[in-house]
Formats: sequence, structure tokens, C-alpha cells
Amino acid sequence: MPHRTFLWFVLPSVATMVLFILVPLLNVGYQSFFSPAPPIENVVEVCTNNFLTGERTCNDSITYEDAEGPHIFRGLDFICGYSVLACSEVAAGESVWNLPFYKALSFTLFYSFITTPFIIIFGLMIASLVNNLGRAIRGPIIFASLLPFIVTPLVGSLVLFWMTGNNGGLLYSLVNGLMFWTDVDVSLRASSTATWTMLAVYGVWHVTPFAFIVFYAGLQTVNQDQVEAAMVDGASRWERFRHVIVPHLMPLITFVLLIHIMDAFRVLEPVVSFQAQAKAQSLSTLIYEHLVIQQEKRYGTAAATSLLTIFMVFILLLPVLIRTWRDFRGAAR
Amino acid sequence: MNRQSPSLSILLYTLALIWVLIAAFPFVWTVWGSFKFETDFFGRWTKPLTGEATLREYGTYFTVDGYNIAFSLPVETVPTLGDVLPVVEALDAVDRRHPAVVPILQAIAIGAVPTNGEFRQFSRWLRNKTGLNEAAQSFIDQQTEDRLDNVSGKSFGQAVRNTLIVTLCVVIISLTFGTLGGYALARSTAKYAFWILIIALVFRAMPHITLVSGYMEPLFATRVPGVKIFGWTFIEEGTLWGRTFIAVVVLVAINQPFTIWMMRSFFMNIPVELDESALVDGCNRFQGFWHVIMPVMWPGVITTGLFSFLLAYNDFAVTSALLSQENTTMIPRIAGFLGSAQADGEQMAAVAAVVSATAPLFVLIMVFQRQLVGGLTAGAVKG
Repeated sequence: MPHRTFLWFVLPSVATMVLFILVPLLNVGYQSFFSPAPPIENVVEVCTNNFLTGERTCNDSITYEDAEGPHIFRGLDFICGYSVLACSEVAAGESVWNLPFYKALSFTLFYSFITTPFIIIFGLMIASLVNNLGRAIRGPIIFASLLPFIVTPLVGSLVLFWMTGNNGGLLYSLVNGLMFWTDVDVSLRASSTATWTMLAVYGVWHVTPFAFIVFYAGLQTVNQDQVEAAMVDGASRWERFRHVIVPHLMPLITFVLLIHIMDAFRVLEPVVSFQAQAKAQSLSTLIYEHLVIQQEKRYGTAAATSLLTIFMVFILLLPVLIRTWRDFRGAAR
Repeated sequence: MNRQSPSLSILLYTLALIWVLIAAFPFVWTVWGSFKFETDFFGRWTKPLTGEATLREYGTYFTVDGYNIAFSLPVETVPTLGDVLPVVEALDAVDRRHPAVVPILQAIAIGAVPTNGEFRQFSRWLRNKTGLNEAAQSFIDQQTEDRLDNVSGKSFGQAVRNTLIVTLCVVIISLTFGTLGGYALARSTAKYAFWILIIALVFRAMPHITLVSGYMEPLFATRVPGVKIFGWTFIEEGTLWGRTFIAVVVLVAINQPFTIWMMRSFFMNIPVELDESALVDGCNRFQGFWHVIMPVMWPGVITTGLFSFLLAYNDFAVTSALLSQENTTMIPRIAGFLGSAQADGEQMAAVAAVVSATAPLFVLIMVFQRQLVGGLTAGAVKG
């Protein structure tokens, strides 16, 4: 395709991405180091007479006025601030696990990596299960399976959360019923451990269908001759699964892994739904809090947190990028 | 694989049933529970089944009151103490001990104003009571009137309309841009095409909220003048923040990486010979694209459109941060219910809103199951 034609075809798409993804990302970098000049404080004394007692009380009323002028370079103020890397607190030897950014980072990593093996294993199990059922019943099963994945994350997590009530909610009763041998009352909401576990359970429930559908499609293309050859050689069901089917699905497993870690790293909605910010903050909810919840928007802190998050996403992607680059160079030669 | 013993078959079907229950049952449960009174839905798990509190409150086993509250009554309409005092005074000693009345009496005793939820519970109780005096009757009428007056407030109905506008715009623009871009990327063998795709993949991985943090300050800082055409406000004066079209543009941008990847994979399946024959027949590139390629691309466009729709519909980060109260869409509105609902006794409104937001997705999956599965397995979904 000629270069000029190519340009006209991709222009709308590329222009949108440059203007509304690249520029904001660069702005995140800028805002992490620069802030507008602080607003000008106007202090006015306001006095009122109490109309019953006639007493006169005076208070200072402060109004803020936007200052004109260039942005100020703030150095490491934001990145090293308490809500982000908390450099001085860490240097002073404070435990990092009590600081907001590190807490959020640890939860985000926990959520991304603890859910992954479950999703892959459950996805494989359900895919081979459905593949062994009668054809007529597969459609309805796929319909039911799509629900947790397609339904809005905020809604899906709420639906689960409402079942965990301590006063005999369905999931709560189920869990406590399954633990009949102890008298310990297992609350699904009270402790941090319970909250982290429930969020991970939601994550697995939400993404397993995706893994299932992808693996199920992969199973349709398994080479039946290979499977039969393995049967002739006396391979058991498990051996056939382990040595023929799993290797065939390997590229799909990598694909699901990549997509899931990308998505899990930005986990936001379940924490909001579970109203769990006090016990489990993720990097996204931390930024969300600085930007949306707080009355005084903390753009600098939000930008600095975002910058570090973007940096970490990049590191996570690096192996994939390097491999793609190698493949591309290999193909070009 | 076809030689299954009966016992193995039974095991497999049991496991499949368990999975279907795990996947779908929470939704069934919530839909069922949305027609109950809140002490039933949020109480012990047997309560939604027996529905005793719902029966006590409404006189029937099912109620649509949650939906009524979600779609009509805004949070702001609060009756005053003056409205309710004569009614309470007229109640006899037995009635005054009813759970719906006690909180009102307590509030009056300590000189506080009852909460919205307490008022609502009280007026609901009154409505089921026979032999009311005049004061009570007028109080109920007043409450009903308030509801009707405020239908077009910040109710969920408004959010539904906003969602419709936002998702429709996002899907149309995303598909237009994505189809053009995806076609060129599928047909070009140049190095820069590869780089565009890789950079799009990196953009795709960025958490949406980090992009939002790049938007917020500039949007708040930019003021636009108002534009009126024949007395009709075309552009409202104010900052750029909170406007529908900003959210649309941002969602389109976030959608682009995924759209061009998916479109590209669909175009790759269409033989290049088709393009070439069009060029030979004297079409230019765009004519060939429009008259020859597009007619065979509709399945791909529909599948990609479905996923664009889902991204816009399911979004929380962008819409909740960038839309003002009156422009807000369904999902942020539901999140808004969470904060206020508990205090206002409007929890069932949140449940009803959740069910209402899920219903279109149910239909979507039913109608487009084949395309959704096809899209997921095209290796392109969410990537």
C-alpha cells in the first residue's frame, strides 16, 4: 500500500490515540514534577451578630483565587510525598507496609498473581469438561459462562458482595456450612484477609469464563490423529491431556496470561463495590481516590502514582515486547 | 473420547451443573431479590425465599418499589417534620410501637429530623394501614406528588438516557476510525505499520485511571465560552470537565488500540486478491475499500462493535471521573447509590438499578452469543 494512502487511512485512528492517549500520558509525566502556582490566599475577617444575644463573633474567612503565571517545578515533592514513595518515612525506617502506596502495590500484585493460576487451571478444567458433553447442552453452558465475564465489573462484584452479608447472606452461610467441623464464625467482610480473599475470588469468577472460552476454541482444533496415536500407545486420559492437549494450548495459555495480568493490574471496580478501600487499596483505587473522592483534588500525587503505575505496566510488558520484536526481526530477515 | 462409562457421564454432567450454578446463580438470585423488601434481600438467605418481611411491608410477596425509587424519587425530596407531626400525633399507642414509627418518634424526641429512609418506611407503612385520618391521607398524597414532580431529576432514568447517548456515539466513532485504520494496517507490510500495532498494544495495557489523571487538570483549567443558536444553548459556558462529548472522545481513544487490532485480524482473513481486482477495475483505494471490501466485512464490524459497546457500557473509571452529576451514566450512578443508599434506606433502589443495568447485557449475550464467542477466540478480545 502506498505511504500516502496508508497515512490517510490510519490518520483518524492514530490522531485520536496520539491526542487522547499519548498526550495525557506525557501530561502525567509533566504533572508529577510541575504544579500550577499555588492559589492566592485572601483572608477577610467576617463578623456576625447573634440575633438572640446580640453577641458579636468574628472569624477569618479564607478565599482562594487562581494565580496566574507559569507552573512551578516541584522536583521530587510529589513522587517522594507521603502518599506515593514516602521517601523520608522509608528513610526513617517506617515499615513500608503501613504506607498507602506500598499497601496498594502489594494488593495489586497479590490480586494479579494469585488469581492467574486459578484462572488457567479452572479454564482448562471447564473447557475439557464441556468438550466432553453432548453438543446440544454446550450452547446453554456457554451462555451461563459468559455472564460473569461480560456483565459490568462493578455490577458483577456488587452481585457477589451482596451475597456475603454477615447476617446470614447466602455465600456467608455456604462457607460457614462447609466449615461445619469448627465453631469459628468466618466473616467474609470483617478482616483484611477475608476481604483480600473475596476480591481474589471475584477476580477468578470474573475471568475464568474468558479462559474457558479461549481454551474451548483451542480444543476444537486439537489434532485428533495425535490423540488417537497417544491412545494406541496406551496413554491414559490424564497423560493425553498433559502431553498432547496442554502443549497444543500453550500459545493460548500465554495469551490469556498476558491479557489477564494487564487487566488485573488495573483492578478498580471490585474494590469500590466491596467498599473495601480501608482494607484493600489497589493502585487504581488509590489514584481514583486522589482524583475523584477527595474534595481537594490532588493532581500531583495522582500523577506521580500514575507515573509509577505506567512504569510498572511497562516492565510487565517488556518480555512480551522483546519477544515480539525478535519475532518481527526474525520474520524480516 | 466418545467411550464414556455411565458413571463418568453422570460425574461430568454434575460438574457442568455446578459450574453453571457458580457462573449464573448470583445473577438469578439478585433478580429474584430485587422484587423483595430490603430486610429480606439483605437478611438471612432463607428470607428472600419466604419473603416474610416483604409480605409484612407491602401485603404481597413481590414488589417493584425498588424500581420505583430508582427511576423516580431523587434523593433530595425530604418531607419536613411539620408534615409528619400531625400524623404521628393521631396514631394510637399500639401503632406507635410499630418499627416504622419508632425511629420517627425517637427523632422527634431528641429534636432531630428523621432520615429520608425513615420517612419512606413510615409513609409506606401508612399506605398499607386502613382507617387513616385526614392528616395521614394528605401526607401520603404529598409524598406521591413529590415523587411525580421529580421524575426528571437525577433519577436512574436520566442515567439510562445518558448511557444510551454515550455508548451509541462511542460505537459509531470507534468503528469508523477502527475500520479505516485496521484495513490499512492489515494491508501494509511497512515497518511503521508494525510499530503502530506495538505501540497500540502498550496503550492498551495502560490502566484507564492513569489516563484520567492526565486529563483532569487540563479539563478543569480550560474554560469555554457559551454558544447559543436561536436561543438554544448549543455549548454551555464553563469548564470542559463534565461534558458528555469529552467522555465520548476519551472512550473512543481508549477503545482504538483494541479496535484496530481486532479489525486488522478480520481484514487479514479477506484475500488481498479482492483488493487487487477492485484496483484493476479502476477503483481507487478508498472506492475499493468501500464497494468491495466492506460488503464482506460486516460480520467483523458487528463483532468489533459489540466489544466497543461493552467497553463503553461497562466503563467506570472514565465516566465516573469525567462526567458531571447530570450527565452521568448508569454505572457511576450505581456507585453513587452505594454511598448514599445505606443512610437513606434506598438499598433496594441500588439493587433495582443493578438489575436494570444487567438486563440489556443478558439480551445482548442471548442474541449475539455466537459473535461474542467468535470475537473472544479471534485472539483479539481485550487485546
